[in-house]
Amino acid sequence: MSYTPEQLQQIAKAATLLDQMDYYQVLKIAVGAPAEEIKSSFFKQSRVWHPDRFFRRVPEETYQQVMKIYMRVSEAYSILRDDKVRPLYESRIKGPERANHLRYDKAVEEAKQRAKKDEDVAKTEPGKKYAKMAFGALNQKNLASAEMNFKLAFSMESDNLDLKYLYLKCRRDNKGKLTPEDEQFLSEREKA
Amino acid sequence: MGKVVGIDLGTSYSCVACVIDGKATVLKDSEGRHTQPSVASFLPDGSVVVGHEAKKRTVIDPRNTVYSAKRLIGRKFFSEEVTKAKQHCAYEIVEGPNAEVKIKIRDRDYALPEISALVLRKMKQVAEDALGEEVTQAVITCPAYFNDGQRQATKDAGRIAGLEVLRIINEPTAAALAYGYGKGLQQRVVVYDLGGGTFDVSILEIGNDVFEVISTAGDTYLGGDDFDDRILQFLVQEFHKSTGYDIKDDPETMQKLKSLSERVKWALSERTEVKIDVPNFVLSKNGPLHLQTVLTRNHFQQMCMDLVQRTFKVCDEAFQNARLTINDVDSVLLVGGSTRMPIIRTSVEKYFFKTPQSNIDPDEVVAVGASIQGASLTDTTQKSLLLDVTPMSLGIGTVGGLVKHLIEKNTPIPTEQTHIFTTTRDNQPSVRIMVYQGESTRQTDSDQLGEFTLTGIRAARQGEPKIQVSFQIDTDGILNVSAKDLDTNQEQSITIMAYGSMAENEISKAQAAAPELQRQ
Repeated sequence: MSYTPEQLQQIAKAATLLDQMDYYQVLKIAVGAPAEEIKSSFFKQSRVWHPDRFFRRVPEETYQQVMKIYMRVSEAYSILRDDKVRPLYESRIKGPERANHLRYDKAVEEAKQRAKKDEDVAKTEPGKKYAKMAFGALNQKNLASAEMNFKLAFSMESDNLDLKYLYLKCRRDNKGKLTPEDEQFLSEREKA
Repeated sequence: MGKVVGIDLGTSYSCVACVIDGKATVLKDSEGRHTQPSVASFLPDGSVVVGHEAKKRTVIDPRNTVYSAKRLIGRKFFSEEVTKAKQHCAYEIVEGPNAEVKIKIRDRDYALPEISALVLRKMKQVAEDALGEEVTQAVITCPAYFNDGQRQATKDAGRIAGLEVLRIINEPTAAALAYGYGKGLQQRVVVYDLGGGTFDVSILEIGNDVFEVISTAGDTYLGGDDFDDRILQFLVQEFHKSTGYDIKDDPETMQKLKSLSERVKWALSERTEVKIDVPNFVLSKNGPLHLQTVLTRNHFQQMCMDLVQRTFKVCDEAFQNARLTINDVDSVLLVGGSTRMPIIRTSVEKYFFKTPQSNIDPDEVVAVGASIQGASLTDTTQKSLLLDVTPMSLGIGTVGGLVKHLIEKNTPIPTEQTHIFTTTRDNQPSVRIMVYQGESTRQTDSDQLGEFTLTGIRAARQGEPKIQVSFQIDTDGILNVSAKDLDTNQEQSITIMAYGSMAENEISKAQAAAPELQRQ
């Protein structure tokens, strides 16, 4: 079976339209559709768009477009079948920021949640300020600066063991010297 | 266009099948045998025999006869499995230039894909003889729990063998395809696949022609070999008890004992007790020593209970990941020669509260499934579709020895994730990215897959360049990496060092240097 130029054009168009669609549109189902429908639609779309259906039957350019479409189909399926994520996704695509939330990146969302938790480690305003700088430095892979800022944050809240842990961990990762007590503190925390 | 064959490249045995006139058929050798031992023996004249003849030579010429190569393929020299193999194997395992494993046979070092390529060439030969035509295209299977390096190495082996590898597919998935193809099933199946060296479990949902893997888990350090080993240890002890002779340091006798152990294991699947009686087993200084003992099925099962339990821990994990329970399963498929052991059958039945499907041949079903996949890739009238997943999480190295996961395990493939990298110094010309596979967030507990370096980054202040790196896991389950400078939209050059995989020129070199394969 070979494809007509019109069919190839249709595939190319489907690939470009992808970025304006939410996951329900990708799977061609109504917002809030039940789980069984998500699955059956995923199977249906897979029969149409799985790259194996096009294996060596289309030019490389078209094959890449098919890959793009199919990866979005399975991404849509992965997110919509996840009950933990789906309500949030649904509220976002119904909201005013819809255009920015057509896709949902689990890794990024988890990182965001973690970052929020990070900022809550410190309890006082000055502590928060240094902790924030320290996390920023960590993201930049600047261990020396992270260590210094965690140390400052800890000095603001000397009873905050989470900050102590972060400071000592950075110190260790930065190949700084640790006292035996510090070593013990770290290993106990890490076991817990 | 020629026919596409499906090859189950097993740890101990390999099998080849092909769809002929719409029917998937196992291709037999000239003596009517369905499987070939995955053993290659190097003869003094520089040629090689593979299969049954080679297996006989594990006892006659253990130093030049390579078996269970699959346990080593794609692994690093300093891994647990390789250390273990070095103690067990009579052939010489050496370290290659990039910490990979090589096998030294008479002054020549062979990479593992070169060894597996010999087995694949044998299977190609068997197929060509059976079909009466040349075979150039194949679908090759690997354990679901193989990592990127192991898959890449398997694919390389196929290419060295002169095969165009249309696809690498997972063994349990292939088995499910063979089981459900053309039956119009609507059910959930579990594939319990205990092979010679690896264990996999996959949970699939079959909807007519679509086979969706929901989750997969495995242990690439667990297989029939380990059951043989328990018998081997028992025989070593018994022999020592009765004769005072220790054969542990005698590789040739150990090899004899190893093949004896395998036969004892088989016999215990048929009988409840096996008498072992080998006169003149060892010729010691004080005369010939006899190996004489009895092993009951019960005793054997006790010796192996922990191995069996390990498989169920893996099953628990697969169910947890699938968010399903045992009650959600309609059928249980037993795959792999090791599932012939009665202890496996009864334990599986107890665990799943279900009698496993008895109408599938555990040795052949994987190759049959691979051949169906081969046909559906090349023939539009074949309708089956496999939707598989990646077995482990993929991540990148971050500060402090940690791993940040980008693609979670059990994500449907093909899949792609992007991550934006930047520089930490002004005018930094390159950025190094380490890629890991595994569930741990610590680098030391993860498998390092490779190292990618973004090069030729345009001169800019620190943190200014935005380079988007795309990690794509393709339909073979193999990682592809590409990068783009987001400001200029130009492709960013990237150098890739994936551990275990061979460069194009290395493959053609290996093809040219491949020893002659003898026909028996």
